Amino acid sequence: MKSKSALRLENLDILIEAVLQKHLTYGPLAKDGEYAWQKIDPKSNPYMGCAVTMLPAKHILQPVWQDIYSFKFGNGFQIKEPELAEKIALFGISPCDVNSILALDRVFGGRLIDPYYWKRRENTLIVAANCTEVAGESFCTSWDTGPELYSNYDLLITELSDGYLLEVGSPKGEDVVAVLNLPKATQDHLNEKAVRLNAARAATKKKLPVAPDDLHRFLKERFNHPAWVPNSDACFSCGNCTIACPTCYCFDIRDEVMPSRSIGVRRSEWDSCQLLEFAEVGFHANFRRLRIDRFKHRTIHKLSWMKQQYGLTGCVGCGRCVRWCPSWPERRGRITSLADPVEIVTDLMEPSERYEGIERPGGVIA
Amino acid sequence: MKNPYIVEPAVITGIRQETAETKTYTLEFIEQKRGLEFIPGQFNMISLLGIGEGPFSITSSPLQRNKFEHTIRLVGSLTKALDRLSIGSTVGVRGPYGNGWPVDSVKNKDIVIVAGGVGLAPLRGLINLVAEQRDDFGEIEIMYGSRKPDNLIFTSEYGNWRAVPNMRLFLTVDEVPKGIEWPYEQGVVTNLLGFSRIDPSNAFAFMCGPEIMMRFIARSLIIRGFAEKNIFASLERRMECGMAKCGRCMIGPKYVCIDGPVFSYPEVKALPHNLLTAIS
Repeated sequence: MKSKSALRLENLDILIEAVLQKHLTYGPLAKDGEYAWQKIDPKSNPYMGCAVTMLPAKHILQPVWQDIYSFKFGNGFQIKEPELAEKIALFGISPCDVNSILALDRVFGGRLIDPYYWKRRENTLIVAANCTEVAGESFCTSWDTGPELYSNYDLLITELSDGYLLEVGSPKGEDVVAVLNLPKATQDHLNEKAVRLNAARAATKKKLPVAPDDLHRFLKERFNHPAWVPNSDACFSCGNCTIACPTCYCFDIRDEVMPSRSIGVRRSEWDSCQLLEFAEVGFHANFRRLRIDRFKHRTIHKLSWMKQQYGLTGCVGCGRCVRWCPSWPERRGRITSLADPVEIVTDLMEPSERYEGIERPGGVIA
Repeated sequence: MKNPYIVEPAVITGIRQETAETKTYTLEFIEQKRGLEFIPGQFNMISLLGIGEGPFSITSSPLQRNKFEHTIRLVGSLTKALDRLSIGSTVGVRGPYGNGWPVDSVKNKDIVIVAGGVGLAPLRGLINLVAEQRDDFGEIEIMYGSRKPDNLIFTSEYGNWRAVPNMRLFLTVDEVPKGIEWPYEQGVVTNLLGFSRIDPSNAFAFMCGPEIMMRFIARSLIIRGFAEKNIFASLERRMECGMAKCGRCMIGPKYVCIDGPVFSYPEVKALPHNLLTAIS
């Protein structure tokens, strides 16, 4: 469709009401001094700035726990699939998080499609919001996954000095706004959008020091770089970085049987490659027993391997892993989080010799 | 949209004890409309609903579709529960998954098969396929090692394999307990390669077993003149979905469940961690 129409929106309330008509709507709402994805109602005030919510919106498309199916014993077994028909809207999702959903689309799509993710995904309306400011830990400009979203939205909001610019990106988005009879935006509004987003870009100081296209080679060459050792030694293996990451998708499958022992459910549950048991098999053999192997796996999968697997990078620069990493050792004269991809890459740029004689603080602890 | 997580009920129609802790199960789908079409080396996800699900290689010949077999070492929580089942019990099956051995590229070629312990399981379907379509393949040598004589699996079939023209079976064990008669070799499985009469220059080698064993086998094969691209290994990793969603079985950028479990030696060499290459 050609009409990437740009409209003028006075206030968010009428748009929220229009979206709420047909969608179970989630938005970034203030919670405990942070932002969190929560269900919104006409009185809610979703944040349209750079809402780096505590958790990304991935739990709405791939819930922390979800029933894959229920089963009943008797004459073998019978399986019943859950019904997922609800229409969902993500209201005010940031460009980086939309980009992370595009990566998840490739993981849960492919030759064998995960029907649970895809039914939700197909029923999801993306009402994105460009970031007119960028949070301190974010480095979306390094990947061009923010502060501006160029495509893959149904509706796109940009906050202006007076009201909002509302761009329509799909027939689904068109359906929502058709009834509102909004006035067309003027060239001035479009100009202001460009000015504001360029300012946000310019204000983003944090940068990945290696060009994205070069990361694959860079990390491959440094797979055995000594900088991995002190980094992973200080890691708690807690898994926060993976829980907070909008592109982390690993899960566990487990069964639960009700006390009657005649019915049960098979569930998937978020899991983390950082946890010791993640790659464990029978006999307690463990293919990633060492913490350094788990630490490297996460970092390199995000920055390089996911691109090889899916053509899209596994890092969108949102900065959540940086914020929620509990290990903030003082390194390199700066206070920084251990999970920070920018810091890890920066450390790996150092010549190996710099690490000679450095005491390993924790020794080799699994 | 077909839901790939759904398991189909299959009945256990045969159980054969292979060793003290290994059994071969024969399964038949209750809905007989669909047999199981697969390539040797592929695996199924087998479920005991309420207990769990795991990947198990299909060990029967692909020519037999209405029933199929799995040879399982009963050591984990799922497999111990499987051990309590009997003929007539129902399990859930979905599959097949993975790539399997490159059967089409080895037509008319000589093949050396090297296996350790229960690692012979994913190769048995291939061996029986060769036996059934003898004219389609060259010479076959099976080099099989295990810890002790009573850890060998598929012992009841060795006679048949030896009777197949140009198929040779060599056995070795690490240890022979006192009082046990053992007319074959003793020592590591690498030693058996010395008996090979196959010309390595155009032959293939398929192996499965502990990674430490496969490292030494790979090195011996290369020294003997096998082309690296003709050496294939079946790898094991923890898997829960079988279709590259759950993320567990990754080795570097490869998913063992869809890119493997069979990898060529150059593919393994490109992976991190020097899996089958680091020998100091």
